[in-house]
Amino acid sequence: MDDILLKKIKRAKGNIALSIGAILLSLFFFVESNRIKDGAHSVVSSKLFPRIYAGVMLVCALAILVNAIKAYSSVPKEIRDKDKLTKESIAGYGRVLAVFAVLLVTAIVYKPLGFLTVTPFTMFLIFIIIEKPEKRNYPLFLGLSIFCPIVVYFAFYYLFSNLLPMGILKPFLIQFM
Amino acid sequence: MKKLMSLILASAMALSLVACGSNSTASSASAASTPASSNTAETPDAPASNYPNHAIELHTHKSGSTVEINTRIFAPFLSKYLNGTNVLVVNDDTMETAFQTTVNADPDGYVISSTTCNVQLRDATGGLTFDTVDDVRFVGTFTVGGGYFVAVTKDFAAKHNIATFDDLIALTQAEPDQYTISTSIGAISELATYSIIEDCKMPAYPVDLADSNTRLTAFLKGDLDIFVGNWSTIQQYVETGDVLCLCFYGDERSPFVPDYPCTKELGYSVLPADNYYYISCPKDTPDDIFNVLCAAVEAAANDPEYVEAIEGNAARACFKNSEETYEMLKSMREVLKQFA
Amino acid sequence: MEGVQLFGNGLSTILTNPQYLLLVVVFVALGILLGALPGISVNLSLILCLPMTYTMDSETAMTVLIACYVGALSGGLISAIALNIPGTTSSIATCFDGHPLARKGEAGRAIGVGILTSTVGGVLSYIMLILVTPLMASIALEFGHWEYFAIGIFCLTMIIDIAGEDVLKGILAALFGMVLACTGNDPINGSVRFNLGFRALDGGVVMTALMCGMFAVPEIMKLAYNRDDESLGRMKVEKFRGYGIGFKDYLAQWKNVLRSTLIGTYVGLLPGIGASSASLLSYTTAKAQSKNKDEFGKGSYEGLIASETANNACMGGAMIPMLALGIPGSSAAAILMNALTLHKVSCGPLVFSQSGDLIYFVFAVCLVSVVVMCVVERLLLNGYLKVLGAPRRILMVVVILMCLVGSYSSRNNVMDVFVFAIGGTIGYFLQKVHISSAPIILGFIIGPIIELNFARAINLSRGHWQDIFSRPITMIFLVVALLAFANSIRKTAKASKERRAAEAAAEKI
Repeated sequence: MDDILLKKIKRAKGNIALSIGAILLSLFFFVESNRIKDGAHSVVSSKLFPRIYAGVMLVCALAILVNAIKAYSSVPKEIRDKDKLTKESIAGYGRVLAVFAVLLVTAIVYKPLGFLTVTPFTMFLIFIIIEKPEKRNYPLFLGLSIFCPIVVYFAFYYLFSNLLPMGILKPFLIQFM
Repeated sequence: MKKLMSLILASAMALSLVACGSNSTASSASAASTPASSNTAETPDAPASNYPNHAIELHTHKSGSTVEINTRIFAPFLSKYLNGTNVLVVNDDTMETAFQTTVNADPDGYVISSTTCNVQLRDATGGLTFDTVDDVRFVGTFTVGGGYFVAVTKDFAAKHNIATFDDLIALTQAEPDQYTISTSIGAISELATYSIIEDCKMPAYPVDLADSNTRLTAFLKGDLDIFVGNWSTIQQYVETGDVLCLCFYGDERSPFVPDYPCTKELGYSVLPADNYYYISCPKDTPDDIFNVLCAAVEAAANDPEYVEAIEGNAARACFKNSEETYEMLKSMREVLKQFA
Repeated sequence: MEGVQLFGNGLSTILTNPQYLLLVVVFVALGILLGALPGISVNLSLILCLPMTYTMDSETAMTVLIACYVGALSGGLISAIALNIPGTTSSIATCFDGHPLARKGEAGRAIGVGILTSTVGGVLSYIMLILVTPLMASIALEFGHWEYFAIGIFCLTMIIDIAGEDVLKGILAALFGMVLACTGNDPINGSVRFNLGFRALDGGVVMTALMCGMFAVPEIMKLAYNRDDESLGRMKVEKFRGYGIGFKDYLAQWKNVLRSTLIGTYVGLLPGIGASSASLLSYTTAKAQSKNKDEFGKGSYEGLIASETANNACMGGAMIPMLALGIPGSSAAAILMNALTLHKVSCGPLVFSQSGDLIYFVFAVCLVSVVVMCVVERLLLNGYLKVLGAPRRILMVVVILMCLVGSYSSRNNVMDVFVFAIGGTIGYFLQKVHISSAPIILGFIIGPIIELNFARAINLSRGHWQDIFSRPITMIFLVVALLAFANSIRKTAKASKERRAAEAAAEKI
């Protein structure tokens, strides 16, 4: 029975976090929609639908919050206290945030540094993050991190005339164009 | 594992070597390589510098748009007059983005843009952080859109006894704001609809139907009463008799379809709303590079094969040099500011 | 009769000319490869191949594009089933049952069934295209903006069906998608919305980046979180023969197949609705009519057949108004129409009399491409399964690379890479609270259909919203949507009550 209650409390906590996030988001969208300027001949305001969506989001979020608080309160305190983040899950979330950080930095430097400069690092770092230390195959990771972006870059250029960002390698890459 | 690693690195090196190639032969599968057929026009003399010596990025609107298609038709001809240099069409999500890329690019002649007067319209209505006339150098105009035709459906014409443009004006004046007319907010054609309403004294109700498919569907269904748009959209329906074309917007008859009177002939003075396509380069582009580009654009725009090719997409080749393009866009922006 | 003769001429041209057959095989294979890559949608596949065709003659150009289109549309099912990442938006519904089947070790069989049923749906819809284009084209004109608005509302109710146990969360997710779709320039008034001060967001959020982010990034994050979980290793694939389903078993699904083909063709006929809505509609209809409703979402071949048949039947449907009216039924059809225009073929009521040879050649290419796709994709399947059998932790990183490329390449805007990263992370945490990415993506697709068509309808009615009541098709869809919504809420409330009672009983024990 403890397992069922633990699941219930986990779910309730998740729903509380979700609903608070959704409430804040819907309020944000509602406030931001005030900044939308309508055109001179608008028959249907550009603010109308965003406000409807934000309004209904708020209602749904409040309903989820109420249900979640009820569920949370219905679980005995001693069971609630058992639900704590373990070291493993904290480490897991740390790795998740590391992946996010890698992707975010990739987005930031993608254009200035270029596809061929950035994506090998992106791939290599993600390989490292998602694989246990004892199982990491560094030569394979390195090889794939270099080989795949090169293949993709030149395939996109020569087959599809689609240019991915050259970035700092431009003086070198223009020789191939 | 070592063998696998060696294999991977060797493949990567081999691919890099395979990718090497000269300027003119590098991209046989490229969209913008030299057209297969020969031409009779002369190519310009090679400049003192070795420009261009690698591919040129030609930024334009997003894929599938009319601007993008017309730019892709033009690009191979531009490539031909740049000694076969690869002119690589790069799609940006908006024309303003394509234009801005040129504003911010290095003035080395390798990043140029192909945009239309819609950029000046956006500038006139405010919201851009750059000047669309003075922040770039105009290489030249190469194409103009096919213009706008005013049409009604056969059923609408029969119901309201419409045979001419004047009949339509009379109808709308008798019942102001009762009949819908298509417009396209944010595009130059919006100016055409506005001018029809204001200058031709046709008090119809403008409805924004930006893309031609939506416009055609609403028009054929009977939800849209007065069509203002390209000939290519309604051509077949005019030929089958389902649509009655009343006039061509502008001061001269359409060179494609001269059968229909223009608004000037009918006694109406309307605002100029031609949508010109022009090439821009960064403002500080050196003269020797700039002159090479100008000569190439002029030759490409006047190439008989290009003239024929662009007509297939309801536009026509129209060359204006750098100064003419500058003056035209400057005066157009002033007109658009008043309109905005 | 003349049409049949022209079609016969077109077919014999392809079959007797090795150049065209070779092009069909090569570009179907290329299309399958591109469509199977997460991040490369059907539209992007066509856009990538389009420049190749500018210097070709019209027959060759159309052969290349249609073969690529057919391949890419079908290729999307491979990553949808194997990786739970739809290769195209129209494969979203395929993920619902396709990936659970893959987790059970039946990836190969599921893909085989998907290939077979895609072929059947495609062939049937192309036969309709060939036989009844002029007749069916007029149906497209019966639907105006009010009707599309109503269809959009109806499609929203389907999201509740796929939301799972927690309907409120499903609705919340859909609304989040709908708000995201409002980002950028308002298509009606041109006002900029929710760009957070970034000019790069004036063009809005693009579907490819969001879809890749919301499906691919959570997968890689799950691998990061569950580093010790050995079950997230290689994908197990059971051996199977042929297309993974016997003739009799497939024939037993004839009602499902026929209904899905009709839904796909009909929805494809309507410009602006799209294949993703068709496959979703087909899926939810199959679920409603099935005797095994509970299996849907857990690995039901019925659900897989419904979504993939409709998905591919849309192809033929979308080409009907494109050819007969000059109004493309989908964005992919718009690209095909542009290609025809570039080769001086104008679509519309005179297309058959002016360019009949080419049009019937195009029909023949469509049919041949679908058949070739069936064979080529099955032949490539073993190779794909070997690749997909690679360690998941290796495979997913390569997938992330392709998603990065696909996100950026759709419009060369680095903001799309941000959307991929941030949207994906949000998607992961939403999955942690049991909200799947599908309702968000579907809300993102359906939101603009509702808003745009509502605004245009009001505009065309000159502000008289009461006109909606005078349109029977609109009212039918709205009433059906309301009834479907009420029914879904009732069923969900009942299921929720039963679940709470079961939990309470378990707690007492």
